[in-house]
Amino acid sequence: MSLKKNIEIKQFLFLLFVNPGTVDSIHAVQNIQLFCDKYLKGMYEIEIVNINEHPDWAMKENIVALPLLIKKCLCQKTA
Amino acid sequence: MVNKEDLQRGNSNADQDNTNRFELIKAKTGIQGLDDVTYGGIPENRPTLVVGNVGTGKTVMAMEFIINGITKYDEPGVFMTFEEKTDELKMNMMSMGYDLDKFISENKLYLERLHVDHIEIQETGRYNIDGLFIRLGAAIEKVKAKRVVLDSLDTLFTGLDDKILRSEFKRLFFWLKEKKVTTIITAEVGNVFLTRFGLEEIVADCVIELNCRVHNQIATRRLRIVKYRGSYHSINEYPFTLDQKGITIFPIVSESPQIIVSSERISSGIREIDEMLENKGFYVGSSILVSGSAGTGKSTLVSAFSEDACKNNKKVLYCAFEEAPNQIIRNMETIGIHLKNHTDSGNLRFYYSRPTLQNLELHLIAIRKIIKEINCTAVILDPITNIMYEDINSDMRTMLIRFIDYLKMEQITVMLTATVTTTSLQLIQSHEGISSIVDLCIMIEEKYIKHRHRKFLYVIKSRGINNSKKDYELLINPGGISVSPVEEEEHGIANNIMPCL
Repeated sequence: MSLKKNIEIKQFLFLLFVNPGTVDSIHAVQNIQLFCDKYLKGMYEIEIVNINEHPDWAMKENIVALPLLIKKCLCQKTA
Repeated sequence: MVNKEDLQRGNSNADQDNTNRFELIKAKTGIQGLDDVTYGGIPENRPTLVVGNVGTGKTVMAMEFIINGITKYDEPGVFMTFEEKTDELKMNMMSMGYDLDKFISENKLYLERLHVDHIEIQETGRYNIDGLFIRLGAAIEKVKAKRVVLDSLDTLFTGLDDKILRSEFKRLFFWLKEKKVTTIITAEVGNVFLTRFGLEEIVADCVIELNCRVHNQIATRRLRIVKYRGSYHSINEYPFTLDQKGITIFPIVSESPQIIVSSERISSGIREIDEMLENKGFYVGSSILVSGSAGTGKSTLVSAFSEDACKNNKKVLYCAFEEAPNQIIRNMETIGIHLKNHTDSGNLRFYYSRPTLQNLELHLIAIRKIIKEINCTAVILDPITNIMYEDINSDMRTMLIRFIDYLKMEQITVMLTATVTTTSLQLIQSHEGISSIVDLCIMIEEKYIKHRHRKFLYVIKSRGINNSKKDYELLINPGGISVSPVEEEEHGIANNIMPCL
Protein backbone atom coordinates (compact mmCIF):
# COMPACT_ATOMS: atom_id res chain seq x y z
CA MET A 1 0.00 0.00 0.00
CA SER A 2 1.51 3.25 -1.14
CA LEU A 3 -0.11 5.21 1.62
CA LYS A 4 1.91 3.38 4.22
CA LYS A 5 5.09 5.12 3.11
CA ASN A 6 4.43 8.30 5.02
CA ILE A 7 1.18 7.76 6.81
CA GLU A 8 0.61 5.05 9.24
CA ILE A 9 -2.94 4.00 9.04
CA LYS A 10 -4.14 3.02 12.39
CA GLN A 11 -7.62 2.05 11.56
CA PHE A 12 -10.24 2.28 8.85
CA LEU A 13 -13.75 3.27 9.67
CA PHE A 14 -16.46 2.34 7.25
CA LEU A 15 -20.01 3.51 7.37
CA LEU A 16 -22.28 1.27 5.37
CA PHE A 17 -25.76 2.55 4.80
CA VAL A 18 -28.22 -0.20 4.04
CA ASN A 19 -31.86 -0.83 3.65
CA PRO A 20 -32.17 -4.23 5.30
CA GLY A 21 -34.33 -6.64 3.46
CA THR A 22 -33.17 -5.74 -0.01
CA VAL A 23 -30.93 -8.19 -1.82
CA ASP A 24 -28.42 -5.52 -2.76
CA SER A 25 -27.94 -4.53 0.86
CA ILE A 26 -27.43 -8.11 2.05
CA HIS A 27 -24.81 -8.59 -0.64
CA ALA A 28 -23.12 -5.35 0.28
CA VAL A 29 -22.78 -6.32 3.95
CA GLN A 30 -21.32 -9.69 2.99
CA ASN A 31 -18.94 -8.21 0.44
CA ILE A 32 -17.50 -5.52 2.66
CA GLN A 33 -16.88 -8.01 5.46
CA LEU A 34 -15.18 -10.47 3.14
CA PHE A 35 -13.02 -7.75 1.65
CA CYS A 36 -11.96 -6.30 4.95
CA ASP A 37 -11.16 -9.66 6.44
CA LYS A 38 -8.98 -10.40 3.47
CA TYR A 39 -7.07 -7.13 3.13
CA LEU A 40 -7.45 -5.10 6.30
CA LYS A 41 -7.57 -7.68 9.00
CA GLY A 42 -7.57 -6.18 12.45
CA MET A 43 -7.50 -2.59 11.35
CA TYR A 44 -11.01 -1.84 10.38
CA GLU A 45 -14.31 -1.04 11.90
CA ILE A 46 -17.60 -1.28 10.08
CA GLU A 47 -20.67 0.47 11.23
CA ILE A 48 -23.81 -0.64 9.50
CA VAL A 49 -26.56 1.97 9.50
CA ASN A 50 -30.12 0.97 8.90
CA ILE A 51 -31.39 3.97 6.98
CA ASN A 52 -35.00 3.20 7.81
CA GLU A 53 -34.29 3.81 11.44
CA HIS A 54 -32.22 6.92 10.86
CA PRO A 55 -33.72 8.92 8.02
CA ASP A 56 -32.02 12.04 9.39
CA TRP A 57 -28.66 10.42 8.67
CA ALA A 58 -29.63 10.10 5.06
CA MET A 59 -30.08 13.84 4.95
CA LYS A 60 -26.90 14.59 6.87
CA GLU A 61 -24.75 12.42 4.65
CA ASN A 62 -26.76 13.34 1.56
CA ILE A 63 -27.62 9.81 0.57
CA VAL A 64 -29.58 8.99 -2.53
CA ALA A 65 -28.28 5.66 -3.72
CA LEU A 66 -28.36 2.58 -1.51
CA PRO A 67 -26.42 0.60 -0.39
CA LEU A 68 -23.74 3.20 0.12
CA LEU A 69 -20.36 2.93 1.74
CA ILE A 70 -18.65 5.94 3.20
CA LYS A 71 -14.93 5.58 3.82
CA LYS A 72 -13.74 7.40 6.89
CA CYS A 73 -10.28 6.56 8.11
CA LEU A 74 -8.59 7.36 11.32
CA CYS A 75 -5.09 8.26 10.32
CA GLN A 76 -1.94 9.13 12.22
CA LYS A 77 1.03 10.80 10.67
CA THR A 78 4.44 9.30 11.20
CA ALA A 79 7.12 11.56 12.55
CA MET B 1 -46.10 1.35 2.63
CA VAL B 2 -49.66 2.63 2.49
CA ASN B 3 -50.91 3.34 5.94
CA LYS B 4 -54.42 3.00 7.19
CA GLU B 5 -55.21 6.65 7.11
CA ASP B 6 -54.31 6.86 3.48
CA LEU B 7 -56.51 3.93 2.65
CA GLN B 8 -59.43 5.46 4.46
CA ARG B 9 -58.95 8.73 2.70
CA GLY B 10 -58.84 6.87 -0.57
CA ASN B 11 -62.13 5.18 0.22
CA SER B 12 -63.89 8.34 1.17
CA ASN B 13 -62.69 9.88 -2.07
CA ALA B 14 -64.14 6.99 -3.97
CA ASP B 15 -67.47 7.41 -2.18
CA GLN B 16 -67.71 11.05 -3.09
CA ASP B 17 -67.02 10.22 -6.65
CA ASN B 18 -70.00 7.99 -7.17
CA THR B 19 -71.95 11.03 -8.26
CA ASN B 20 -69.59 11.80 -11.10
CA ARG B 21 -67.38 8.80 -11.28
CA PHE B 22 -66.06 9.52 -14.73
CA GLU B 23 -64.54 12.71 -13.55
CA LEU B 24 -60.85 12.59 -12.81
CA ILE B 25 -60.02 14.05 -9.42
CA LYS B 26 -57.89 17.11 -9.91
CA ALA B 27 -55.72 19.14 -7.62
CA LYS B 28 -56.01 22.88 -8.14
CA THR B 29 -52.68 24.55 -8.75
CA GLY B 30 -54.03 27.95 -7.78
CA ILE B 31 -51.95 29.45 -10.57
CA GLN B 32 -53.94 32.09 -12.41
CA GLY B 33 -55.17 30.56 -15.63
CA LEU B 34 -53.55 27.15 -15.37
CA ASP B 35 -56.57 25.67 -13.70
CA ASP B 36 -58.73 27.00 -16.54
CA VAL B 37 -56.53 25.49 -19.20
CA THR B 38 -56.55 22.11 -17.50
CA TYR B 39 -60.22 22.36 -16.53
CA GLY B 40 -59.61 22.14 -12.83
CA GLY B 41 -55.96 21.46 -12.17
CA ILE B 42 -53.43 18.69 -12.46
CA PRO B 43 -54.30 15.05 -11.70
CA GLU B 44 -54.55 14.51 -7.98
CA ASN B 45 -52.29 11.93 -6.37
CA ARG B 46 -50.40 11.48 -9.61
CA PRO B 47 -47.16 12.81 -10.97
CA THR B 48 -47.14 15.65 -13.51
CA LEU B 49 -44.14 16.50 -15.60
CA VAL B 50 -43.23 20.13 -16.26
CA VAL B 51 -40.77 20.40 -19.13
CA GLY B 52 -38.96 23.54 -20.12
CA ASN B 53 -35.70 25.10 -21.12
CA VAL B 54 -33.50 27.14 -18.87
CA GLY B 55 -35.27 30.20 -17.55
CA THR B 56 -38.79 29.34 -18.60
CA GLY B 57 -40.11 29.36 -15.06
CA LYS B 58 -40.29 25.69 -14.09
CA THR B 59 -39.09 26.19 -10.55
CA VAL B 60 -41.35 29.16 -9.97
CA MET B 61 -44.35 27.26 -11.28
CA ALA B 62 -43.54 24.28 -9.08
CA MET B 63 -42.99 26.49 -6.08
CA GLU B 64 -46.22 28.32 -6.66
CA PHE B 65 -48.03 25.01 -6.81
CA ILE B 66 -46.68 24.18 -3.35
CA ILE B 67 -47.29 27.62 -1.86
CA ASN B 68 -50.82 27.85 -3.20
CA GLY B 69 -51.41 24.41 -1.74
CA ILE B 70 -50.41 25.71 1.66
CA THR B 71 -52.12 29.10 1.54
CA LYS B 72 -55.23 28.37 -0.50
CA TYR B 73 -56.08 24.69 -0.10
CA ASP B 74 -54.50 23.82 3.23
CA GLU B 75 -52.34 21.12 1.72
CA PRO B 76 -48.80 21.03 3.08
CA GLY B 77 -46.01 20.37 0.65
CA VAL B 78 -42.53 19.00 0.21
CA PHE B 79 -40.07 20.69 -2.12
CA MET B 80 -37.01 18.65 -3.01
CA THR B 81 -34.46 20.62 -4.92
CA PHE B 82 -31.71 18.89 -6.85
CA GLU B 83 -30.15 22.00 -8.27
CA GLU B 84 -30.40 25.14 -6.22
CA LYS B 85 -29.27 25.38 -2.64
CA THR B 86 -32.10 25.84 -0.19
CA ASP B 87 -30.79 29.21 0.94
CA GLU B 88 -30.58 30.48 -2.60
CA LEU B 89 -34.05 29.19 -3.32
CA LYS B 90 -35.40 30.98 -0.27
CA MET B 91 -33.76 34.20 -1.41
CA ASN B 92 -35.09 33.86 -4.92
CA MET B 93 -38.59 33.21 -3.71
CA MET B 94 -38.36 36.10 -1.30
CA SER B 95 -37.94 38.39 -4.29
CA MET B 96 -41.29 37.12 -5.53
CA GLY B 97 -42.88 37.81 -2.20
CA TYR B 98 -42.92 34.32 -0.73
CA ASP B 99 -41.51 33.88 2.74
CA LEU B 100 -40.57 30.23 2.76
CA ASP B 101 -39.13 30.34 6.27
CA LYS B 102 -42.53 31.24 7.61
CA PHE B 103 -44.12 28.16 6.06
CA ILE B 104 -41.25 25.99 7.25
CA SER B 105 -41.61 27.19 10.81
CA GLU B 106 -45.34 26.52 10.63
CA ASN B 107 -44.46 22.97 9.57
CA LYS B 108 -46.39 23.39 6.32
CA LEU B 109 -43.42 23.20 4.03
CA TYR B 110 -40.43 20.95 3.93
CA LEU B 111 -37.51 22.09 1.86
CA GLU B 112 -34.51 19.93 1.22
CA ARG B 113 -31.60 19.90 -1.15
CA LEU B 114 -30.56 16.62 -2.59
CA HIS B 115 -27.56 16.33 -4.80
CA VAL B 116 -25.30 13.70 -6.14
CA ASP B 117 -21.75 14.72 -6.80
CA HIS B 118 -20.15 12.29 -9.17
CA ILE B 119 -16.68 13.25 -7.99
CA GLU B 120 -17.43 12.07 -4.48
CA ILE B 121 -19.06 8.87 -5.62
CA GLN B 122 -17.76 5.71 -7.18
CA GLU B 123 -20.36 3.42 -8.56
CA THR B 124 -20.02 -0.32 -8.41
CA GLY B 125 -22.42 -3.17 -8.60
CA ARG B 126 -26.11 -2.90 -8.23
CA TYR B 127 -27.82 -0.29 -6.20
CA ASN B 128 -31.12 1.53 -5.93
CA ILE B 129 -32.24 4.99 -4.85
CA ASP B 130 -33.90 3.96 -1.63
CA GLY B 131 -32.12 6.86 0.02
CA LEU B 132 -34.35 9.23 -1.91
CA PHE B 133 -37.42 7.20 -1.04
CA ILE B 134 -36.62 7.25 2.64
CA ARG B 135 -35.86 10.95 2.73
CA LEU B 136 -38.96 11.75 0.76
CA GLY B 137 -41.02 9.43 2.94
CA ALA B 138 -39.73 11.08 6.11
CA ALA B 139 -40.40 14.53 4.65
CA ILE B 140 -43.95 13.67 3.62
CA GLU B 141 -44.55 12.18 7.04
CA LYS B 142 -43.14 15.24 8.80
CA VAL B 143 -45.46 17.85 7.29
CA LYS B 144 -48.27 15.46 6.33
CA ALA B 145 -47.72 16.54 2.77
CA LYS B 146 -50.28 16.27 -0.01
CA ARG B 147 -48.07 17.93 -2.60
CA VAL B 148 -44.54 17.12 -3.63
CA VAL B 149 -42.14 18.79 -6.03
CA LEU B 150 -38.96 17.23 -7.39
CA ASP B 151 -36.96 19.98 -9.06
CA SER B 152 -35.36 18.84 -11.34
CA LEU B 153 -35.07 15.11 -11.15
CA ASP B 154 -33.00 14.64 -14.27
CA THR B 155 -29.93 16.20 -12.66
CA LEU B 156 -29.51 12.82 -10.99
CA PHE B 157 -28.60 11.39 -14.38
CA THR B 158 -25.29 13.19 -14.31
CA GLY B 159 -24.25 11.35 -11.17
CA LEU B 160 -25.84 7.97 -11.41
CA ASP B 161 -26.36 5.19 -13.89
CA ASP B 162 -28.97 5.64 -16.59
CA LYS B 163 -30.48 2.20 -16.59
CA ILE B 164 -30.77 1.93 -12.85
CA LEU B 165 -32.33 5.39 -12.55
CA ARG B 166 -34.88 4.69 -15.22
CA SER B 167 -36.26 1.62 -13.48
CA GLU B 168 -35.93 3.32 -10.12
CA PHE B 169 -37.92 6.34 -11.26
CA LYS B 170 -40.71 4.08 -12.39
CA ARG B 171 -40.74 2.64 -8.91
CA LEU B 172 -40.61 6.12 -7.41
CA PHE B 173 -43.62 7.39 -9.28
CA PHE B 174 -45.59 4.31 -8.44
CA TRP B 175 -44.64 4.80 -4.83
CA LEU B 176 -45.68 8.44 -4.93
CA LYS B 177 -49.08 7.46 -6.28
CA GLU B 178 -49.39 5.00 -3.45
CA LYS B 179 -48.49 7.73 -0.99
CA LYS B 180 -51.39 9.75 -2.36
CA VAL B 181 -49.44 12.89 -3.07
CA THR B 182 -49.81 15.13 -6.08
CA THR B 183 -46.38 15.54 -7.57
CA ILE B 184 -44.73 17.93 -9.99
CA ILE B 185 -41.48 16.81 -11.55
CA THR B 186 -39.51 19.32 -13.56
CA ALA B 187 -37.16 18.42 -16.37
CA GLU B 188 -35.08 20.04 -19.05
CA VAL B 189 -36.04 19.92 -22.69
CA GLY B 190 -34.19 17.34 -24.75
CA ASN B 191 -33.18 17.00 -28.37
CA VAL B 192 -34.52 13.61 -29.26
CA PHE B 193 -37.13 13.17 -26.63
CA LEU B 194 -39.33 15.78 -25.09
CA THR B 195 -37.11 15.74 -22.02
CA ARG B 196 -33.37 15.28 -22.04
CA PHE B 197 -33.50 11.83 -20.50
CA GLY B 198 -36.84 10.68 -21.80
CA LEU B 199 -38.61 11.11 -18.49
CA GLU B 200 -41.91 11.56 -20.27
CA GLU B 201 -41.94 7.83 -20.93
CA ILE B 202 -42.01 7.23 -17.22
CA VAL B 203 -44.23 10.04 -15.98
CA ALA B 204 -47.01 9.94 -18.44
CA ASP B 205 -50.14 11.17 -16.74
CA CYS B 206 -49.80 14.83 -17.44
CA VAL B 207 -47.10 16.70 -19.29
CA ILE B 208 -46.89 20.51 -19.38
CA GLU B 209 -44.38 22.20 -21.62
CA LEU B 210 -43.00 25.68 -21.02
CA ASN B 211 -41.01 27.56 -23.60
CA CYS B 212 -39.73 31.00 -24.31
CA ARG B 213 -39.52 32.33 -27.83
CA VAL B 214 -38.19 35.55 -29.17
CA HIS B 215 -40.00 37.12 -32.05
CA ASN B 216 -39.11 40.56 -33.33
CA GLN B 217 -36.88 40.98 -30.30
CA ILE B 218 -39.79 40.47 -27.98
CA ALA B 219 -39.59 37.39 -25.77
CA THR B 220 -42.72 35.61 -24.71
CA ARG B 221 -43.06 32.70 -22.35
CA ARG B 222 -45.64 30.16 -23.36
CA LEU B 223 -47.25 27.12 -21.86
CA ARG B 224 -48.83 24.10 -23.46
CA ILE B 225 -50.44 20.96 -22.10
CA VAL B 226 -48.82 18.23 -24.14
CA LYS B 227 -50.66 15.38 -22.58
CA TYR B 228 -53.29 14.82 -19.97
CA ARG B 229 -54.34 11.27 -19.45
CA GLY B 230 -57.97 10.82 -18.57
CA SER B 231 -59.06 14.39 -19.09
CA TYR B 232 -59.75 16.79 -21.85
CA HIS B 233 -57.62 19.88 -21.90
CA SER B 234 -56.91 22.90 -24.03
CA ILE B 235 -54.27 22.05 -26.58
CA ASN B 236 -53.22 25.56 -27.50
CA GLU B 237 -50.13 27.38 -26.43
CA TYR B 238 -50.86 30.06 -23.89
CA PRO B 239 -48.62 32.97 -23.12
CA PHE B 240 -47.84 33.58 -19.50
CA THR B 241 -46.06 36.18 -17.47
CA LEU B 242 -43.75 35.80 -14.57
CA ASP B 243 -43.50 38.76 -12.27
CA GLN B 244 -43.45 39.70 -8.65
CA LYS B 245 -46.96 38.37 -8.28
CA GLY B 246 -46.03 34.98 -9.65
CA ILE B 247 -47.20 33.25 -12.77
CA THR B 248 -50.22 34.39 -14.73
CA ILE B 249 -51.52 32.54 -17.71
CA PHE B 250 -54.00 34.18 -20.00
CA PRO B 251 -56.23 31.48 -21.24
CA ILE B 252 -59.38 32.35 -22.94
CA VAL B 253 -61.12 29.12 -23.14
CA SER B 254 -64.12 29.65 -25.32
CA GLU B 255 -66.88 30.37 -22.90
CA SER B 256 -69.29 32.04 -25.26
CA PRO B 257 -72.46 30.41 -23.90
CA GLN B 258 -71.76 32.11 -20.62
CA ILE B 259 -71.67 35.60 -22.07
CA ILE B 260 -74.31 37.71 -20.39
CA VAL B 261 -75.92 40.15 -22.74
CA SER B 262 -76.99 43.38 -21.22
CA SER B 263 -79.59 45.78 -22.58
CA GLU B 264 -78.36 48.49 -20.26
CA ARG B 265 -76.82 51.52 -21.90
CA ILE B 266 -73.83 53.65 -21.09
CA SER B 267 -73.42 57.20 -22.35
CA SER B 268 -70.73 57.94 -24.90
CA GLY B 269 -69.95 61.13 -23.03
CA ILE B 270 -71.00 63.28 -25.96
CA ARG B 271 -74.69 64.16 -26.12
CA GLU B 272 -74.86 64.23 -29.90
CA ILE B 273 -73.31 60.80 -30.30
CA ASP B 274 -75.79 59.43 -27.79
CA GLU B 275 -78.51 61.00 -29.90
CA MET B 276 -77.20 59.18 -32.93
CA LEU B 277 -77.53 55.95 -31.01
CA GLU B 278 -81.23 55.98 -30.13
CA ASN B 279 -80.55 58.73 -27.58
CA LYS B 280 -79.08 56.20 -25.22
CA GLY B 281 -75.46 55.55 -26.08
CA PHE B 282 -73.58 52.28 -26.15
CA TYR B 283 -74.64 48.94 -24.75
CA VAL B 284 -72.92 48.05 -21.51
CA GLY B 285 -70.36 45.35 -22.18
CA SER B 286 -70.10 46.03 -25.87
CA SER B 287 -66.98 46.81 -27.83
CA ILE B 288 -66.65 50.10 -29.63
CA LEU B 289 -64.07 50.94 -32.23
CA VAL B 290 -63.16 54.52 -33.04
CA SER B 291 -61.19 54.60 -36.23
CA GLY B 292 -59.74 57.33 -38.31
CA SER B 293 -56.48 58.69 -39.59
CA ALA B 294 -54.01 60.58 -37.47
CA GLY B 295 -55.24 63.74 -35.81
CA THR B 296 -58.93 63.15 -36.29
CA GLY B 297 -59.70 63.14 -32.60
CA LYS B 298 -59.92 59.48 -31.71
CA SER B 299 -58.25 59.93 -28.35
CA THR B 300 -60.47 62.93 -27.73
CA LEU B 301 -63.61 60.85 -28.17
CA VAL B 302 -62.44 58.12 -25.83
CA SER B 303 -61.29 60.68 -23.28
CA ALA B 304 -64.71 62.28 -23.33
CA PHE B 305 -66.22 58.88 -22.74
CA SER B 306 -63.80 58.20 -19.86
CA GLU B 307 -64.51 61.52 -18.21
CA ASP B 308 -68.25 60.98 -18.37
CA ALA B 309 -68.04 57.48 -16.96
CA CYS B 310 -65.78 58.68 -14.16
CA LYS B 311 -68.19 61.47 -13.34
CA ASN B 312 -70.86 58.84 -12.85
CA ASN B 313 -68.54 57.14 -10.39
CA LYS B 314 -67.59 54.31 -12.66
CA LYS B 315 -64.09 52.94 -12.74
CA VAL B 316 -62.25 53.28 -16.04
CA LEU B 317 -58.95 51.80 -17.12
CA TYR B 318 -57.21 53.82 -19.82
CA CYS B 319 -54.52 51.81 -21.57
CA ALA B 320 -52.28 54.22 -23.42
CA PHE B 321 -49.80 52.85 -25.89
CA GLU B 322 -48.83 56.10 -27.52
CA GLU B 323 -49.01 59.04 -25.21
CA ALA B 324 -47.93 59.10 -21.62
CA PRO B 325 -50.73 59.58 -19.08
CA ASN B 326 -49.50 63.06 -18.11
CA GLN B 327 -49.48 64.07 -21.71
CA ILE B 328 -53.03 62.86 -22.25
CA ILE B 329 -54.21 64.71 -19.15
CA ARG B 330 -52.51 67.93 -20.27
CA ASN B 331 -53.76 67.72 -23.83
CA MET B 332 -57.33 66.94 -22.88
CA GLU B 333 -57.32 69.80 -20.40
CA THR B 334 -56.96 72.20 -23.35
CA ILE B 335 -60.29 71.14 -24.81
CA GLY B 336 -62.16 71.09 -21.55
CA ILE B 337 -61.89 67.44 -20.63
CA HIS B 338 -60.66 67.23 -17.07
CA LEU B 339 -59.14 63.90 -16.24
CA LYS B 340 -56.79 64.94 -13.45
CA ASN B 341 -59.27 64.89 -10.58
CA HIS B 342 -60.54 61.49 -11.69
CA THR B 343 -57.08 59.98 -11.58
CA ASP B 344 -56.68 61.51 -8.15
CA SER B 345 -59.94 60.07 -6.93
CA GLY B 346 -58.95 56.69 -8.33
CA ASN B 347 -61.84 56.41 -10.77
CA LEU B 348 -59.53 56.67 -13.71
CA ARG B 349 -56.52 54.43 -13.87
CA PHE B 350 -53.86 54.58 -16.54
CA TYR B 351 -51.89 51.67 -17.88
CA TYR B 352 -49.02 52.98 -19.89
CA SER B 353 -46.50 50.85 -21.64
CA ARG B 354 -44.47 51.04 -24.78
CA PRO B 355 -45.77 48.64 -27.37
CA THR B 356 -42.28 47.36 -28.03
CA LEU B 357 -41.73 46.40 -24.44
CA GLN B 358 -43.68 43.21 -24.82
CA ASN B 359 -46.15 41.79 -27.26
CA LEU B 360 -49.90 42.09 -27.36
CA GLU B 361 -50.57 39.01 -25.29
CA LEU B 362 -48.44 40.14 -22.41
CA HIS B 363 -49.98 43.58 -22.51
CA LEU B 364 -53.38 41.97 -22.27
CA ILE B 365 -52.29 39.86 -19.31
CA ALA B 366 -51.05 42.95 -17.52
CA ILE B 367 -54.27 44.78 -18.36
CA ARG B 368 -56.37 41.90 -17.12
CA LYS B 369 -54.54 41.95 -13.83
CA ILE B 370 -55.43 45.61 -13.31
CA ILE B 371 -59.02 44.99 -14.36
CA LYS B 372 -59.31 42.36 -11.65
CA GLU B 373 -57.63 44.63 -9.18
CA ILE B 374 -59.77 47.73 -9.62
CA ASN B 375 -62.97 46.08 -10.82
CA CYS B 376 -63.60 48.58 -13.58
CA THR B 377 -66.62 49.08 -15.81
CA ALA B 378 -64.88 50.34 -18.91
CA VAL B 379 -61.55 49.80 -20.60
CA ILE B 380 -59.92 52.01 -23.21
CA LEU B 381 -57.24 50.68 -25.54
CA ASP B 382 -55.64 53.64 -27.26
CA PRO B 383 -54.56 52.79 -29.91
CA ILE B 384 -54.89 49.15 -30.71
CA THR B 385 -53.06 49.40 -34.00
CA ASN B 386 -49.87 50.23 -32.16
CA ILE B 387 -49.69 46.89 -30.50
CA MET B 388 -50.82 45.07 -33.61
CA TYR B 389 -48.29 46.53 -35.92
CA GLU B 390 -45.73 43.82 -35.65
CA ASP B 391 -47.56 41.00 -37.23
CA ILE B 392 -49.88 40.44 -40.10
CA ASN B 393 -50.68 36.93 -39.00
CA SER B 394 -53.99 36.14 -37.45
CA ASP B 395 -52.55 35.39 -34.01
CA MET B 396 -53.03 38.95 -32.94
CA ARG B 397 -56.55 39.05 -34.15
CA THR B 398 -57.59 35.89 -32.31
CA MET B 399 -55.86 37.18 -29.22
CA LEU B 400 -57.86 40.38 -29.44
CA ILE B 401 -61.09 38.50 -30.02
CA ARG B 402 -60.37 36.41 -26.95
CA PHE B 403 -59.70 39.52 -24.94
CA ILE B 404 -62.88 41.20 -26.07
CA ASP B 405 -64.76 37.99 -25.26
CA TYR B 406 -63.29 38.09 -21.81
CA LEU B 407 -64.37 41.70 -21.34
CA LYS B 408 -67.86 40.80 -22.52
CA MET B 409 -68.05 38.06 -19.98
CA GLU B 410 -67.11 40.52 -17.30
CA GLN B 411 -69.65 43.03 -18.66
CA ILE B 412 -66.95 45.61 -19.28
CA THR B 413 -67.44 48.14 -22.05
CA VAL B 414 -64.32 48.42 -24.16
CA MET B 415 -63.39 51.26 -26.45
CA LEU B 416 -60.61 50.79 -28.95
CA THR B 417 -59.02 53.31 -31.21
CA ALA B 418 -57.32 52.39 -34.43
CA THR B 419 -55.67 54.30 -37.17
CA VAL B 420 -57.64 52.54 -39.80
CA THR B 421 -58.69 54.37 -42.88
CA THR B 422 -59.95 53.22 -46.21
CA THR B 423 -56.48 53.60 -47.66
CA SER B 424 -54.56 51.92 -44.84
CA LEU B 425 -56.76 48.88 -45.24
CA GLN B 426 -55.24 48.17 -48.58
CA LEU B 427 -51.75 48.47 -47.16
CA ILE B 428 -51.97 46.64 -43.89
CA GLN B 429 -54.21 43.64 -44.12
CA SER B 430 -54.20 42.84 -40.43
CA HIS B 431 -56.26 45.95 -39.83
CA GLU B 432 -59.14 44.56 -41.76
CA GLY B 433 -60.01 42.16 -39.00
CA ILE B 434 -60.45 44.77 -36.34
CA SER B 435 -63.79 46.14 -37.41
CA SER B 436 -65.40 42.73 -37.68
CA ILE B 437 -64.77 41.89 -34.06
CA VAL B 438 -66.37 44.96 -32.57
CA ASP B 439 -70.04 45.69 -31.96
CA LEU B 440 -70.01 49.32 -32.85
CA CYS B 441 -67.77 51.20 -35.15
CA ILE B 442 -67.40 54.95 -35.36
CA MET B 443 -65.31 56.31 -38.15
CA ILE B 444 -63.87 59.78 -38.39
CA GLU B 445 -62.69 61.05 -41.75
CA GLU B 446 -60.95 64.25 -42.52
CA LYS B 447 -61.70 66.02 -45.75
CA TYR B 448 -60.35 69.05 -47.39
CA ILE B 449 -63.30 71.12 -48.44
CA LYS B 450 -63.21 74.74 -49.51
CA HIS B 451 -59.70 75.42 -48.14
CA ARG B 452 -60.55 73.89 -44.83
CA HIS B 453 -59.94 70.54 -43.16
CA ARG B 454 -63.18 69.24 -41.78
CA LYS B 455 -63.83 66.15 -39.75
CA PHE B 456 -66.82 63.99 -40.50
CA LEU B 457 -68.10 61.32 -38.21
CA TYR B 458 -70.13 58.29 -39.17
CA VAL B 459 -71.47 55.31 -37.31
CA ILE B 460 -70.56 52.57 -39.72
CA LYS B 461 -71.80 49.70 -37.75
CA SER B 462 -73.89 49.30 -34.65
CA ARG B 463 -75.06 45.90 -33.64
CA GLY B 464 -78.51 46.03 -32.11
CA ILE B 465 -78.86 49.79 -32.23
CA ASN B 466 -80.85 51.69 -34.77
CA ASN B 467 -78.28 54.36 -35.41
CA SER B 468 -78.76 57.63 -37.18
CA LYS B 469 -77.89 57.40 -40.85
CA LYS B 470 -76.96 61.03 -41.12
CA ASP B 471 -73.45 62.40 -41.51
CA TYR B 472 -72.11 64.48 -38.70
CA GLU B 473 -69.38 66.99 -38.50
CA LEU B 474 -66.98 66.83 -35.60
CA LEU B 475 -65.58 70.04 -34.22
CA ILE B 476 -62.96 70.10 -31.52
CA ASN B 477 -62.66 73.49 -29.85
CA PRO B 478 -61.07 74.73 -26.66
CA GLY B 479 -64.58 74.75 -25.26
CA GLY B 480 -65.13 71.08 -25.93
CA ILE B 481 -66.37 68.71 -28.57
CA SER B 482 -69.34 69.40 -30.72
CA VAL B 483 -70.97 67.12 -33.17
CA SER B 484 -73.58 68.50 -35.50
CA PRO B 485 -75.51 67.05 -38.42
CA VAL B 486 -74.27 68.11 -41.82
CA GLU B 487 -76.57 70.54 -43.62
CA GLU B 488 -78.61 69.11 -46.47
CA GLU B 489 -76.85 71.07 -49.22
CA GLU B 490 -73.46 69.92 -47.97
CA HIS B 491 -74.44 66.27 -47.97
CA GLY B 492 -73.03 65.66 -51.32
CA ILE B 493 -69.60 66.90 -50.28
CA ALA B 494 -69.37 64.79 -47.18
CA ASN B 495 -70.63 61.72 -48.92
CA ASN B 496 -68.33 61.74 -51.86
CA ILE B 497 -66.21 59.00 -50.36
CA MET B 498 -68.04 56.30 -48.50
CA PRO B 499 -65.83 54.46 -46.07
CA CYS B 500 -66.08 50.75 -46.52
CA LEU B 501 -64.46 48.92 -43.64
